[in-house]
Order: sequence, then C-alpha cells, then structure tokens
Amino acid sequence: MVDRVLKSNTMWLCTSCYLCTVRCPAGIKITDFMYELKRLAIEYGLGEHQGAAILAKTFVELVNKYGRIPEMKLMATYGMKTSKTKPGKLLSQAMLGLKLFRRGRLPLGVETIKGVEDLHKIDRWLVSKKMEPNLVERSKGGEK
Amino acid sequence: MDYTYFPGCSVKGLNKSYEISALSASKVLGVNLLELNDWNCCGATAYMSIYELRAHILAARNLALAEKYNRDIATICPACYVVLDKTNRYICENKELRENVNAALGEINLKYYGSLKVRHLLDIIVNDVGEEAVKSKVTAPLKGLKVAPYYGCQTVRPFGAFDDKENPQTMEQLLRWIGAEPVKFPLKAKCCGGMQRVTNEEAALKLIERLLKAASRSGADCIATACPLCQMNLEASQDRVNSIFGTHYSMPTLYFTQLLGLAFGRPIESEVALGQELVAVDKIIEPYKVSVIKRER
Repeated sequence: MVDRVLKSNTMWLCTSCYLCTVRCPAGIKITDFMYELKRLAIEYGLGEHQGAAILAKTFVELVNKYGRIPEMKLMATYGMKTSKTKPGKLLSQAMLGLKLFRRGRLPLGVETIKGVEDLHKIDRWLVSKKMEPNLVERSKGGEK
Repeated sequence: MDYTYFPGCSVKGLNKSYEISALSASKVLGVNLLELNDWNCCGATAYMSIYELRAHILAARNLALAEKYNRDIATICPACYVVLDKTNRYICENKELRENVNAALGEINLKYYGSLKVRHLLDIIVNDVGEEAVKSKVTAPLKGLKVAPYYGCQTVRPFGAFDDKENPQTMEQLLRWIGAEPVKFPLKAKCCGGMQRVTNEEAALKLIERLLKAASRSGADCIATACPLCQMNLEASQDRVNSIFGTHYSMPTLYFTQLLGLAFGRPIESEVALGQELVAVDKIIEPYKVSVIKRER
C-alpha cells in the first residue's frame, strides 16, 4: 500500500495552487499533505523517475550552491538530466531559450550571495542534529 | 511609504520587465521599495518538496534579515509571497517549528521574532496607496483597453490575506482606476500549470489553452498578470498551444505594473519595460503611446 501511494504521480502533479486547501470543508491542508508525500517518496527512493522530483532536486542543488536560482541553468541542468528519457525536452527547452535570447530576455552570468556559506553551516548543523531526514540520508552518501 | 523589498530570483532573471515596471510604478506612487541586502531564494515550491524544516529555515533567513528594519516586506512574485508568508505564519503558530528554525538561525547569529507582515505589491498599491492617489498619477488613461485580469493561484491562496481566495477583485479595481476596462474572466484565479510546463508539458498546456480560450472569448485585448511564472507560461507557450490544439492565439500578456506605467506616461522601454515580449504588444499600446508623446511635447 505504501508503495502504491509513494510510487504514484499524484503528488508530483500538484502545482501548489492551493484550491483543494481552501475548499476542503474539514480544513485539511491538502497541499501540505502533498508536500509530505513528495518528501516521503524521496526518502524511500520511490520518486526518482518523476520529472518533478528531478527538477526539485536540481533546484535544491542550485540554491545550495548559489543561494539563488539561475533559471537558465536550472532548465539546462534539468534538460540534461532527463535527456535520456525525454529526448525532445532538451530540444524544446533550447528552442524556447533561443526565442528568449532573441528578445534580449536571457540573463547573463550567475550571482552567488554572500550568505551562501551561512546556508552550508545550517546544513551541517541540521545533519549533526539529525533533524532533516532527507538531508541526513544524502550526507551518508546515498539514497535509501 | 517604505517597504523592505524582496525581489525573488525570477524577476532578476528571465522576467526583469516585471521588476523594472514595478519599481517605476511604485516610485510614481511614492512607494519606496528598499531591496533586502543579500536575500536568498525563498525556496519556491521545489525546496519544500524535498526538505521541510530546511525550506522553512531558508525562508526564515530572509525574514530574520528583514526584521531589523521593522517594515512590511513587499514582494512582487506570488511564489515568493506565499512561501515567505506561509513560513511567517507557521512559525508564529507552531512553537516547535519556531524553536527549531531559530536554533538553526542561531548558528549564523540570526533570530526571527515573528514581527513582520509579508505583502504583495498589488495589495500595497490598492490598499495602502489607494484610489485617489493612483488616479491622480494617471496621465494617459487606458480608455477602451480590455484587460483579462489574471491573478493566478498564489496571489490569493491559501491565505486570502487581501482579497477573495477564488473570486478576487483587487486587480479589476486597480485597472478601472487607470481607465482600463477589466473583462469578465472567470478563470482569473485558476492555475496556469506552474512548473508542470517543464516537467509535464501535456498537463500544463491543457490548462494554458483553457486560460487563453477564456481570455479570447471574453473579448480581452490582453491579459494582465501579477506573476512571473504565469506570464512566462501564458506568453511563451502560445506557439506550442497553437500547434498542438490547432488554435491561433496571439494574446499579449503583460504585468499589471506595465499597464500602470503606461497609464502614468512613463518611458516605454526604460520604465514600462516593453520590448522583450514574445507576443507583440504594439497594436494594443499604440493609442496610449501617442498620448504619452503628446504630453511630453
């Protein structure tokens, strides 16, 4: 049962539009529940094949590195990571990139914030206190 | 009126026109947006999908940095708005979370006391600046311009801090103040697909097509948005939508701040930040551009 739930793509299709949350007559925060399912799927190693999970992981890696998100790098890295399973994706992203470039909309360079070392310090502390399951797992050098 | 301004990554990257036009319109209205020094990414929807506490800490670092100024935080990106607001509220409601977040922030000599309010610029302009002040700055009323007001999801949900969660009215109000005509657009607070456009294009394009169809049928000349992701999805996907659904959409999609700049008679390129669109806007802005030039003479 746990497998069926955590392998499903339901939570990975959630865009956090919060419509369910505001409509639930019982006041259940369904969007937060979806986030929890995503984290559990990652923790149990059952979300690896989901595009949204790959994108989220890439996003986290870039934030940890720069403190902010360089959007083009996010798209390019995601395109590379999924190029085997979705070969058309990289091409269509590249086409969009080209269109944006022609309109002068592509940002140049990547900025790193001064506080990025502070973010790493917090990560190390979280791992030492075992307060973030997925982070602890990763620091051991592998997913479950 | 001073606010601590949290820009967010997207408006420093692919969607600079939002920031440029927002800063310009704010300046005209006497809204002082003072950028938070060394802010970090809010975490958006992605970070929370992998780490919970870590995501709250990421957002809380910004809140803690901003707290020493004791001003409301002003955001323009609804994703940043919701993420910062949500962490702010959860920290205040949940003692355990507050203690854990502050224990982590303590490692970098920060602490968040929970004294701030997180706001969206649309809220600030309509509720803090108000009708009279906005109207007094209009030099080129957007008479006859039919606009589909598109809020997207996170401007109003989940908290609905300044407007109805499903049928908001703020943007319509503002559009009327600058002389434009908001059309009836029932999908105004429905989802554009967000990041699904990247990870599950098929699902996202269905939502985008639905929005474009509704906007076209409403007779709108353009869509006004308050969100960089909505802007990108609605504008940049029109080619894909047309080729897949056999449609012919060519719907200009502007930020509400660009329409403000136009009505305030600001310079088209340097302040209204027009000129980088993927769907041409010339036709719809032409009448108002003329009145700008007349005024300058």
